[in-house]
Amino acid sequence: MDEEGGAFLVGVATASGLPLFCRPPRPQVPFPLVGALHGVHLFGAAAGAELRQAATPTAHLGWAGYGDSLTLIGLSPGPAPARILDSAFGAMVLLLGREQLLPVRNEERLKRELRGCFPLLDSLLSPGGGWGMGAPCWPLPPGPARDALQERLRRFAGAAGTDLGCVVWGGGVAWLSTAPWGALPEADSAPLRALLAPPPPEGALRGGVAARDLPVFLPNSSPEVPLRLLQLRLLPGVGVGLLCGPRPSLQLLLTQLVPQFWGPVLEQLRARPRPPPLPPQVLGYLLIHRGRRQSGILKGAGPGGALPPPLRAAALRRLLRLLEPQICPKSGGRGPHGRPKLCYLALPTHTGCCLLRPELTLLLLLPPGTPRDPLSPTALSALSALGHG
Amino acid sequence: MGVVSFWPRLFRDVTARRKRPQFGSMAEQHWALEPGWLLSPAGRPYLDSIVHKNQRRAFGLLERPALPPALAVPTVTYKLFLAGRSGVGKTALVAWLGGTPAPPAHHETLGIEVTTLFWPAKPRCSSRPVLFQLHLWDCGDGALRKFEHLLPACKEEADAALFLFSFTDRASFEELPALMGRVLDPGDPHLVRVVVGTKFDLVAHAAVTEEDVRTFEGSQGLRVLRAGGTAGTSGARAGLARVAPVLDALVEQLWRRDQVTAGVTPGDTGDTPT
Repeated sequence: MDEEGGAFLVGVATASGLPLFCRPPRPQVPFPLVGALHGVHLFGAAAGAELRQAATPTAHLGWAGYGDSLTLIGLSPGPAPARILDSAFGAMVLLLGREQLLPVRNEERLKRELRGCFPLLDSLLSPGGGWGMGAPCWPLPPGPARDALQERLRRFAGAAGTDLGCVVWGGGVAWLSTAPWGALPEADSAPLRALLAPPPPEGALRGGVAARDLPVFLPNSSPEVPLRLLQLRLLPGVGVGLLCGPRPSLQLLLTQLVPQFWGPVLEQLRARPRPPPLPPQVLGYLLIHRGRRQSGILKGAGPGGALPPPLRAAALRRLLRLLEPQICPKSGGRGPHGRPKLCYLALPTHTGCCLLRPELTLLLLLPPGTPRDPLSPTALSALSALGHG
Repeated sequence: MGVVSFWPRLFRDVTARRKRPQFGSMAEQHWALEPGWLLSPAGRPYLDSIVHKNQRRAFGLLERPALPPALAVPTVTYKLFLAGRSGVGKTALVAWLGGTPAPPAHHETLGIEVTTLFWPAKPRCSSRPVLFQLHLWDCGDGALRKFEHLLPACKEEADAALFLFSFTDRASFEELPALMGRVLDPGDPHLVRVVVGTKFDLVAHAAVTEEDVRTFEGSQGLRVLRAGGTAGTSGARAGLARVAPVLDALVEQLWRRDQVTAGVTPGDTGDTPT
């Protein structure tokens, strides 16, 4: 498996072994391989052992069973198939609901219904698809413009009878959300964000679709009772998302609330948000704060000869892969003694810098040959620019 | 819905210049709107406003085609709801009409998707064109059956219901009357009913013949529009030439209904011009 290639995901009905789907469809995972992978898992289960992960020289394999009836198998170039499997199951629950998935009652029908999840699963698995869910994305930097839009968003959501709303720019390059949306558990907000902001070229919504009213199930908070996700494309590349109950109708939103609340700030929305003012040498970053991931690739940044922008996301991902098992335990980036730490990694093509604080990890991608001494002020300055000073 | 506040003035404008149209005739001269006007030299500035870099422009909810002040025209908004069995081509029809690429592989639309498109047309008896804004509401058949709130949402303030069948799927054609019965209530007389046959380009695999369609038109008193082709992938002008007859026919029926409702023209005999 190619080191920079994406992951593969196979869904199998546990009891019958019938493959339910395989994403991405090409290159196709051969059926005998799917059968063998499922067979190994079943063999372990029959012997009273649960097989979760395995590794070959070129790939990492992961298995996860859900409700004794659905098995997901992941093949990934990096050591994160377990996270991919849980994210994929979350995406499936989001669109179909847990009752529809577990137990598997009608395999043929489920196969048909799962097709609706493919775009979301593909964006999760794509090599440029960000950090498990969603494209690289930063919150709108603080300032009067953000405060005014935040207040408008709060009132718009209030008029729609909810307090869960967000604005997404440019297929997810920047976002702004109400406080309750920001407080959603990561298991709920990550797939929602991926649904609202798929990576380009799809942008905020496919083709000419201007609005969508989608029944969704929150994988963590409401896996069996659907809510409505209303997705409204105000301008090309600028969308609003609302999570609400049976009211208001989409018709009311389109004809009254959207023009009333967003019409007056059209030009403000049209202005593409500027990225956070990071130090000029930063090529890309990943911030993990209390389990939430936020990342960005700075396309214009860096001196001549620095890693080209298309390769920066992969380099950042590789850095995380190198550092994650040793120093980023799942508890949230706390060092061995809970003290802040700064790690440094020099590679021929780039330099990596990782700042670890309680509940916070910041990974920076810097040009090759960056001296070690100014790394600490650079990291602190970047952290401050990202609103965690 | 959506008939904006300048209606009375617009109708006065239209009626001052018009000859009384002869309804019930199939001849083209009896259209209330000029078919093919957008692709004529006179429609060129308006055509340019819905095209960008030889592709149809996709409009957000707050956008309108940019026209110079001298060419400013009134906008009339209509909501159209698409109904049809799963796989018949509802989403593909919307993409075809909107000039955007159709989804590469078929999968059920999970909820409601609304696409906005603009279609300038000129009333036959007026010198001023009208900019028609069509909101096309597409909802997956499976989602419609699974979630009860979706059908009322699609029908709320709708102006037209488009019933789709596929020329390659005879069952979808045969169940049209049942579909219409399921979707329409007795309280929906204002809803313009339109039948659209999709995949008309796949004549080699046609399971529905022209004779079938003529018989259906005769028994239901409805005209069947034909859609199909690759409007989304070719250049904007070639694509527009393919979709223009369908969009012209759609706005014609809606415009005619509004004229009848407003009392500007006498009621229809049930026949629709081609």
